[in-house]
Amino acid sequence: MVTLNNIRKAFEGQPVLKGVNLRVEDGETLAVLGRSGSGKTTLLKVMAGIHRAYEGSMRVDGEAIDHLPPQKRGIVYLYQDALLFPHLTARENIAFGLNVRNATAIDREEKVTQVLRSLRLSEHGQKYPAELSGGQRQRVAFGRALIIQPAILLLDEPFASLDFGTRREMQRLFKRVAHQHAMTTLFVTHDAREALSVGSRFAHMEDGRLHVFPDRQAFINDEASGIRDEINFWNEIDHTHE
Amino acid sequence: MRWQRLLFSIVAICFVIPLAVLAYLSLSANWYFPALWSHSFTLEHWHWLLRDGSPLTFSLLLSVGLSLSVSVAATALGFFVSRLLAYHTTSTYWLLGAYFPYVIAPVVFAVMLNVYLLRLGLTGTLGGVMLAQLLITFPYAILFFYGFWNERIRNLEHLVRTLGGNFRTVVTQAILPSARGLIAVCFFQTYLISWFEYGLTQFIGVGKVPTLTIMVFRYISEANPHLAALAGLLLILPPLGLLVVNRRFLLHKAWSI
Amino acid sequence: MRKVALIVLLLGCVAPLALSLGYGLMYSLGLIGLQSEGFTLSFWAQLLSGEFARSIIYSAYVAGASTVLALGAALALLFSCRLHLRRALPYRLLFLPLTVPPLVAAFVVFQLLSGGGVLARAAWHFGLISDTQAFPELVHDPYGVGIIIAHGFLVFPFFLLVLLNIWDNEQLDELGRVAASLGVAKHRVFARIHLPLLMRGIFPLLALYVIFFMGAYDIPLVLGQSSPRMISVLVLEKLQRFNLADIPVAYAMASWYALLCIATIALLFTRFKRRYSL
Repeated sequence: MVTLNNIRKAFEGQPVLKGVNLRVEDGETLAVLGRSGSGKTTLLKVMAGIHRAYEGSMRVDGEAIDHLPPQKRGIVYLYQDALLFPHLTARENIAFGLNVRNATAIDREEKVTQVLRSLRLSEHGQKYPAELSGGQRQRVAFGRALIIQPAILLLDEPFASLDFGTRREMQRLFKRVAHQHAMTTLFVTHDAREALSVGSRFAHMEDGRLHVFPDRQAFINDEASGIRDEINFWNEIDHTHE
Repeated sequence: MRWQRLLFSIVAICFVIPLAVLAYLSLSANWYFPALWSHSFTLEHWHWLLRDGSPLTFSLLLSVGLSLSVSVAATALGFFVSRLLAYHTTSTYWLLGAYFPYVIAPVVFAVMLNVYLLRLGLTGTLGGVMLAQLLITFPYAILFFYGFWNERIRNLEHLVRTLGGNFRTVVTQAILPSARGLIAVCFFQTYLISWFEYGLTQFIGVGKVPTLTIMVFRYISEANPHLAALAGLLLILPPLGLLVVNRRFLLHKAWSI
Repeated sequence: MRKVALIVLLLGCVAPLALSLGYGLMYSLGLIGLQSEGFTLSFWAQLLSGEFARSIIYSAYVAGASTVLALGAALALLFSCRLHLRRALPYRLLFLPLTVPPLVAAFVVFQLLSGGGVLARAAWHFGLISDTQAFPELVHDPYGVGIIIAHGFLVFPFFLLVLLNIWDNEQLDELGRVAASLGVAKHRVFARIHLPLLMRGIFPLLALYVIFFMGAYDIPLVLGQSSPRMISVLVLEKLQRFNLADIPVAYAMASWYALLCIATIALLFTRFKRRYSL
């Protein structure tokens, strides 16, 4: 379980996070919807320890992590760009976190094979990033994070650069794998449909403040999510054609 | 297309002329006006070069050693200092600090710097020339690498950190594989700046550090065009090798013009 | 870490220059030096006597002419042979002059253009001249022809490579087609689209090269005349003379030239920072 208590962060005197409170339970996916500039990315970077100077406190399973550097927090942050290591194969990319932790060769091979299989990448393991498609690269990036079983996985619009079809496919795959591995994730997106598709709980970020909804219906009903507008739009189109 | 080829052929001939002139001179003897080719040829200069204890062989080795040390130091320092600057300063105005030594003529810089090197006992020594050359190649390396530290590299560094990597892992797994090509280019460019440098080397070295460029000028002053050409050829051969390996390495700013 | 970054920058780049410049200025103001007799502006006043000003003007002329020659040659070749330059061998050949050190280029130009050089010998064989004196002065000449040719030879292929790069990055072929489809006559596309965009792209480089050429040393040393001399050659010559009274004047020249360079680059940087994302 990850808890954030009154997190505040400012850049050159400008507040970007204005007291964020949050609790992410084990195994759940919190989908955070927000426009660009609302503070989503800053929140993730603060959680990952990339931005260190902030106010408030953070705990993972009850232990304070505010003093820990990024490599000791057990929180992995995935960017929109897959950022694979171009000099390593897909298999080596996935194994990266285990190598850093000096895992034994047998353990490593077994886990990597398992992750490759669950991400449907078994036949691409020996390929280099340049030889993979956009969707495959994102899957490798996902596998590279997944394999080290982070306390929480932070995803920053990970599928934004993919085409529509691949994006839907990735959302389904993400849901399946997150469920299968009981992963705790915070999924940031500006697309309400994507939020609805991947999330088990929902939140909305605006102007440095995070509003967590009690359930799916509350999220849909909230004006800020924009989902009502979208439903109305499609209804209007339907009526025009009738 | 045919006249384009013809025009470019003329330009290409102009490009090849310097090499041809140097090679011709290094193989000529008693080449006096108005003879164009009716004079004697000799391998004597080349034999002299290959003889034990030839001053040109010494200069060649000295130049290689000097330029290698300068380029390794400038590239390594410039790489990490540019990272510090790119990540920890918000204003690019700081870069002006690197531009200043970059634009002032090296020889004028050397004139004013010399007093300090003299006090440190470095004037007329290899160490002094090395330090002076480093003071012009280091800012070049900073400016060269500054653009490399973009958002993508920064994100990659953060990613390696969140995956559990320490600074060493960040350097070996994220930065170096991405920067390998650029590092090679910067290394060769700073190598060439040092390799081509004459004025500053002459002034700080006071003739006691006889690099190849110093020897070229010495032979020119002694009105010995044959040996000057030979030394000139030795200066051109390594960059020519680079042209074959990777031409990008040659695109350094013409420092010592 | 910000402090560390700035300290290293200051120590490695700014401090050596500031110390050097400080020493130069103090020496030229009579505050230090072998014959120092306290503060005086007399050495600075000597700068106005003509030699320094003539040298700066002459250096600026050579720098300007070299840049114009290199740019003109690069543009001419770009517009006449662009398609041919895309081929592997011609493109590779453009890099050849970059392998030649300035000092060696000066030596070759001397061997080619001097009174006893290859061109003069050829002229003699064709019966155009009867002795070396009859050959036109192309080196050690008042107009710096040899220096300008050597500069042009070294730099014009580099300018051409940069222009080719700008041509691709700015998609000038496509923009030319767009302009043509909007009714711009084919022969005016060059003047209205291609040239302004190329010049915009290459301007910072041109400005830098004018500064580099002004401070040139190796080439003017071999090919320049005895008066006026280019600034770097003049400073060194003054400093290495046996006349001790010349030393503060040499420092005054060096300091003022350095200040001129610093002011120019600071101006260019601030003025064009945003436009060229420097």
